[in-house]
Amino acid sequence: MEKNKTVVADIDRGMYDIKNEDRYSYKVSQGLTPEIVTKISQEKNEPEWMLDFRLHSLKVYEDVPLPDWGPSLEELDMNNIVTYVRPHTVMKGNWQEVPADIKNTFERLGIPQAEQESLAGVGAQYDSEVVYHSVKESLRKQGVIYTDMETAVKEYEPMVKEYFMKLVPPQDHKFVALHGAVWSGGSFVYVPEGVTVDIPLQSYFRLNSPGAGQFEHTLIIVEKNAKLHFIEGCSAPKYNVTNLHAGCVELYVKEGATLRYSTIENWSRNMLNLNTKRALVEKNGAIEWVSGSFGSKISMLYPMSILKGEGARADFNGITFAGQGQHLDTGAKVVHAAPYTSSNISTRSISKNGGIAVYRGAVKVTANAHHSKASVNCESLMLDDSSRSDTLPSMDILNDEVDIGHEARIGRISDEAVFYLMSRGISEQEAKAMIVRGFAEPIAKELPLEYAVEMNNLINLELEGTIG
Amino acid sequence: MESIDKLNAIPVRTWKWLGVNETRLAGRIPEKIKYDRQPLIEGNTAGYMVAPIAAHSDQIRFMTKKFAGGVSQAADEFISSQRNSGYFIEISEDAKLTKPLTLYYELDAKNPSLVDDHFIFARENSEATVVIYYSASDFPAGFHGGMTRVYAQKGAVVHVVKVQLLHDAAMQLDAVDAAIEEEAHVEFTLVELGAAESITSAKVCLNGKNSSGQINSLYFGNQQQKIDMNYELKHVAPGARGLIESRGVLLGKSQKTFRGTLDFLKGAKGAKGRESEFTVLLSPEVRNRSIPLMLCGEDDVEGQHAASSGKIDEEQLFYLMSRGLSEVEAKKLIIEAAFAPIVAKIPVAAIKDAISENIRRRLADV
Repeated sequence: MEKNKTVVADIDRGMYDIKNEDRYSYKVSQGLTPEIVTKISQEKNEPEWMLDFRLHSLKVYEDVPLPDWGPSLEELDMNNIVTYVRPHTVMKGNWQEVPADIKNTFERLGIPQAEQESLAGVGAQYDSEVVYHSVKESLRKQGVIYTDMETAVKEYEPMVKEYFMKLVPPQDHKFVALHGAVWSGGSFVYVPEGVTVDIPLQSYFRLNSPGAGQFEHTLIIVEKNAKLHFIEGCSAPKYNVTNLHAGCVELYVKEGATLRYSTIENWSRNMLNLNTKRALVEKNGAIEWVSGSFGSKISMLYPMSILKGEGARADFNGITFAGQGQHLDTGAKVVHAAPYTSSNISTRSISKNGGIAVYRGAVKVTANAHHSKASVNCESLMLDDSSRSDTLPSMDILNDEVDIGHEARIGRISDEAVFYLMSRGISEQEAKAMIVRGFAEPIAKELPLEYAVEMNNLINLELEGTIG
Repeated sequence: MESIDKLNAIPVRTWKWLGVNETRLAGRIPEKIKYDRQPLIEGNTAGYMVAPIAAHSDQIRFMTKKFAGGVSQAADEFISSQRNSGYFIEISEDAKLTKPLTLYYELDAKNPSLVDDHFIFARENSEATVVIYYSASDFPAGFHGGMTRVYAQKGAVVHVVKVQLLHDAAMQLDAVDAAIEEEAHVEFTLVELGAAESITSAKVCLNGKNSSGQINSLYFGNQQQKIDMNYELKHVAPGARGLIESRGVLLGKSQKTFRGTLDFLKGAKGAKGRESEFTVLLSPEVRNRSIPLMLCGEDDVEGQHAASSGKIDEEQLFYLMSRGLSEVEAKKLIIEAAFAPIVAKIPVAAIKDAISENIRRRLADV
């Protein structure tokens, strides 16, 4: 069979690239100084310790160099990034009260559809502050706290102080230090002991203002034997000015607890997505990551799981789709720091039209983590020869009572498979699309239905019309 | 030359905290390099020609561009400037050598530091096997720095076997490097058994259409041994085939770092590369690091890598013990069986025996 070139056109991102008129009530001057950081803190009426923490982070930020690995970040100029934009609306508890233009954008992004009876609440972040928020009465009765970070700092101060950026300290890397200095918005979730939240909590946030960075902080504490599924999704309109996203997610999974953290990331193609996510898992606890990276210009995203307690478990399912002009450097890190811990990393990456997809991972097993098991499986699909796909895993094992396996595979859509499907009466185009969807299936099936549909639509849109 | 850093760097850097981007020599390279016991294979026999490497510098310089380089540029320069042994081996066109050419190096008190630089030039459709064996008579420590380059012209088949059985306190810095033309095949079989610190590199450039290259490696670390490997297969031309197969055992407090890269360059249509690495861990104090990279700029390729490490399979062990073997005997048997396919590639019986003997002796520590 003759080898046909697979040409996959760029998605018409239409609805994702709709932007509102730049209307905000307050905007700090460009650039980053202690004065700006102090202003941000004052605007939020924060306690003293938070201001100190911000100023400390700013110092760290100035001292830490940019990473000497990964995609080039030379286009980043922090002096030109407006770090904080407060939307022109205050917190709303009711969808009806959200201003029309914001609502309109969210509607086009599909938020209200997702806001169904079965869903617990939506914390939608518009620019840097949460504009819409609701938690179901039943959850409140169970003692579940779901609020925005600003409110949490005030209302649940002792708890926030105990956990905030303890798992991801500002010293970790330059962008996390920046985050510590200018963080704004994000979600705070607390699930008390033994409580099972059986409907997923979701937060949808996005960037809007040109040149604005978004530094939302997500802090989730799932107490002993509790259970939670948290969904994070994001999409931003397209702008010409470089946009930076340096969020931070800290997840504390206590003894016997389970937390599933799902993300479909769909930033516009000018975004630098330098997000940091980390989970600390205690005895017999479990963290389950589901991660889809579709958007952004550059992504550096490697959720880390620290298995601190005996029998703790981590699962990571990720998909990355890199199209034209995209350099998506994603992966996962797992540290086995206790006996009988287990981890399972499974990733799929697709690259087309000059896109660069990189899997970067690390599995570390400490000397005391005997009887640990780790399995890593990476598969990459190249849709044409102008794209790139690299796999850069690493394993560091410090004891012998372990079972560690790693597998990776790279290739294109097999001609035989296409031929087979075509011999069954399916068109070449549909056959190829079918194979790509099948390739993504292991990740799609981990998502809640409406998100799986959204992801499948995204893949279909990416492939539509031009394959073959 | 003092101790040098930035050795065995991976082609694409990753997180610093992993400590795998590169390595450095902890020991110091002796100030005086001294080795006079030259192996005797010179001559100009039918099918091949062997001469001191210095006499062919010009010819080699002309071909250097085809190679990927060794442990580091500084190390390569050190070897070419400080070498005290080395041969230029030319295999004539269409010559098929049935007997392996074997070079024996033995370090002793009077010859404690060897720097050897070899170049194997296999002309069109020739076939040859070259074995280089490093050992030490009853003598502590020693240093070996070396480089072996292979240039295989169209249709040539070359197998280079390197067996390192230096003293447990020795230090080694060694590189093999191949440039392979159309339809040619180069295979390296690398056995690392001795030395306290061993930093080795193997790079294969599959420059010609349908060329193929293979790296087989076997290592055994015990006590405080540090083994650092950097293997790279560059698939440049259409139809290139590459294979890396590494097996090893870690005992005591030994440490191993394995970097294996399959690189598919744009244009290498129909290339296939595979890499597999398997490590048996026999002590709770070992450190085992693996970085199996796959870089791909071409869609019409098939790349695969697999790495695994862990203890000996309990069921296998149980089965053998139920047949009356002691635990240690059973472990030896399983490890020898795992190593057998690579040991079998060595064409010299005496060397095979020396390897088996060494492995058995060291497994006594289990």
